[in-house]
Formats: sequence, C-alpha cells, structure tokens
Amino acid sequence: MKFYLSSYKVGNETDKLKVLIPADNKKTAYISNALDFSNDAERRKQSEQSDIEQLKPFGLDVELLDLRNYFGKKAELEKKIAEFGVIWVRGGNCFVLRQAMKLSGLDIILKDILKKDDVLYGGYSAGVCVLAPTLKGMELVDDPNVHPYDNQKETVWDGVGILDYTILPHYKSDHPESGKVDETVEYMEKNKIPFKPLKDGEVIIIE
Amino acid sequence: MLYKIDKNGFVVNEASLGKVQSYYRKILEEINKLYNDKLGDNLLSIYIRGSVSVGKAKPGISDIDSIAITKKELSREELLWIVKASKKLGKKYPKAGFFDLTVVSLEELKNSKNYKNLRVYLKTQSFLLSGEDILSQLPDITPGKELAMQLYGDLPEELEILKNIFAGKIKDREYLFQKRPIEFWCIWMTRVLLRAGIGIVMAKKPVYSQDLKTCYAVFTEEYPQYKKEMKQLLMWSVKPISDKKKIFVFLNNFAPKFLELWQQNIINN
Repeated sequence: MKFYLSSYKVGNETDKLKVLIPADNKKTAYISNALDFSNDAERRKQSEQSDIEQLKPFGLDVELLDLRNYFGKKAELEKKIAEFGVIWVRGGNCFVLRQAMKLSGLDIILKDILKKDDVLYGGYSAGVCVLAPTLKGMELVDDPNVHPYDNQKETVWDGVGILDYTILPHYKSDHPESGKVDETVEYMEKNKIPFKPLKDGEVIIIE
Repeated sequence: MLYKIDKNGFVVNEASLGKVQSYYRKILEEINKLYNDKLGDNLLSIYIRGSVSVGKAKPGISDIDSIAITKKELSREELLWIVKASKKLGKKYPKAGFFDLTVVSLEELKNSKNYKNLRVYLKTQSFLLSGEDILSQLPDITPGKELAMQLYGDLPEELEILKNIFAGKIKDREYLFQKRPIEFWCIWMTRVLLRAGIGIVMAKKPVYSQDLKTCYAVFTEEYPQYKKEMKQLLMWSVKPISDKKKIFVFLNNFAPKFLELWQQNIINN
C-alpha cells in the first residue's frame, strides 16, 4: 500500500498524488466517519461534498463508504474494500474514527492489505493521525469522550499502528486547531512519543 | 450533555469571549465589521452563540452562529444580503466551518413566537460581542412546564406543517430565505420531536439540553415504550432521507401518540 498523508485536504503535493493513484483503478472509498460526532447532517453533507469535489479533478470515481453500515461485518467490508484503488479518509475527530475502524474491522483490513502495492491510502487530519501506534496526546485536540456508537462506549487509545510515529497535522498553520497542536507537540516531547508535525499544505508520502 | 442549572433553578450560560479559540477571534472581528457596515445606526448589539461561544467549535463542520439585534425591524428584502455574505465568509474562511448570520429586531426577539427558540439560545449559550447587552430584557431560563410550554406549545401546528410538507401539500416553506429539500425538513422534524421529548420530561423535572442524543437519552429513560421511534429519529438526524412517503407514514403514525403525551404533560398537567 502507498500513502499520501496530508495535513489539510489534498495538500500541496498534487502532482505526486496523481502519480500515486493506481492507473487501472480509480474507484475511491471516501470515508467520513471522523464526523460521526456531529448531529448536523446538513452541514456534514456540505462538508463531504466539498471534499469530494476536490478529489474529482484527479479523475477519481468517489463513493461514500460509511463504516457504520459494516459494524460487525468485517468480511463484507473486506470484500467491499477490495473494489477500491484508493481509500481516502477525511478529518474530524480521530477518536471517533478509531472507534468506527475498530467496529467495522477496517483497522485489521488495512493491515492485511499493507503488502498490496496497487492500493493508495490517502487522507488528512484525523484520517492520518489514526495510523499512529497510539492516540495519546490527541486528546488535547479532539475530545476522546465522544462515543457515538451504541456498541462502543469506551475510548480506544491504541492507534491503527501502521506508522511507528504520530502525525500532528495543522502545526503552525492558519487553522483553528493550530494552538492546540502546539500544546500536543509539548506533550509528545515530554512523554517521548515519536511524532512528525505537518503544516497545512504539507504531505507525507510513503511508497 | 445536560445544561448546568444554578441554585436558583436557572440554566447557566457558560459562553464567553475568553473561551473562543484564537483562530475564530479574527473572524468574529470581521463579523462585527460586517454587521456594523450593513446595519449602521440601526445596530443595537451582536451576540455569538453555539459551539464557538463555548470554545467547542470543530473546524469544517461547526456553525459560526452570530445574531445581530437591531433597533428597528427590517424587511425580508432588506436582509437578503445575509445569504450572499454567509457564502462569502465561508469561502474566505473554508477551514472555519459554516456561517449562520441572523438579524432580528429587539421587539421581534422579545415578542415574536418565531424567535422563541432564539430567546432561549441567547440566554443559555451566548456572549455579547459588541453593543448594548440586552440579555437582561429576556426572561431567565428555568427548565419546567412553563419553558416546555413556551418552546413546544405550538407542537401540533408544527407537526401539521411538516406532515403537509411530506405529503407534498406545502412546497414553499423557507428557512433563512431559502427553500430547502426534503432531507432538510427530515432533519428539522427529528430536531422538533427529539427536543420536544426533553420538553415533555422537563414538565416533570428540571432538565434542559439542545443536544439531540441527550434529548433522546432523557426522554427514552422516562418513556422506554417510544425507544424505537426516537431511535429512528436520532438516526435520521444524522442520516436524513428524502423519501417523503416514508417520513410521512412515520410521522402520521407517531405524531398522535407523541402529541397525546405532550397534551398530558405539558398542557393538562
């Protein structure tokens, strides 16, 4: 699997993104479960639409994949995920996203398909934070006590564990959460948790 | 989360400028300037309410809710600039969220039933951004039968309008000067019923919240027999549908039962 990990939206490495998109499968799973804390469905739809519009110029055939439809149905999700060349995971609350990944089994599926080189995992903000070994420190930015799902009432502190460090998006950026990210940097240093700060526009690419 | 109630039984207003995340402060300055430019001498005060006002705004999804209170009432035509200005701010600050600009005269705010919810929002979760503080002219918010009546007294009429929208008989209802799709009214219905649910409980004990999940939890704890319907509403609140017929059937079945409960607790009790 290849990775295009952005701080905010698609970021500034769009030429590289074009190269990373599998040429023979532009079907894209757009995952927005990091927004499941919100009960403003209208705003959510607008926000998702804005993301999807940004992805379309890359020739991506975007489909909204709601992990809630796959809770307790890992095998079904595995089959569905196999259809996509790109998995794009957007921002929101990383603790909520982590719960949705756990309940649907996406966390395990991602690890299982790590060796496939014809899949691109892309995303931004919470969508990239969640790949860390731990979500410790992220509570300074996102509320860890949000439990929108009936079958998960405890905070999941373990990250998906695909990266061996935490990405801290919106670092020193013109973003509402940048101040809190500064505090998180201090926390990570103090607690010796490996991290890489990313400014909005910046992208980490792993091939 | 339930709102805090003080020792006098009033809902505590926890909003303050000090809680606003620094990024939003420059935006608030711009909103301040916008209202001043557009309303001039007619402007009395500007309030900020909702998640921004308590420092809990989430970028990209939260609303930046502002209310300008004017000395004199303005006509619909005089306020159409709001639609354009909201979009312009949204484009200028795409990371912030969505801009909800409201203009209302003091007279309307104090007396019009159209603003019964706004009166409560202002008293329970807002702070003065600039101008004259008029909150003392609005009644304190004490959860109880009177507040339930004030907020949900027109529930039968509202549900009837919604039924007519889903039946296709009303097609021109607007919100903030714009016609809205069925999905919007589906969400609207979920908010009306879930919040009226806490209103029914409020008539018995002092509880108050705007949060739909809290309203659901409080109501279904008291009336578990309606869990299925309230669960459906909660689900539609985050995943609305556009199937008018399906919503109509639901509302047509549920409204009489719910209104009976409303009658018993808020009207007769």
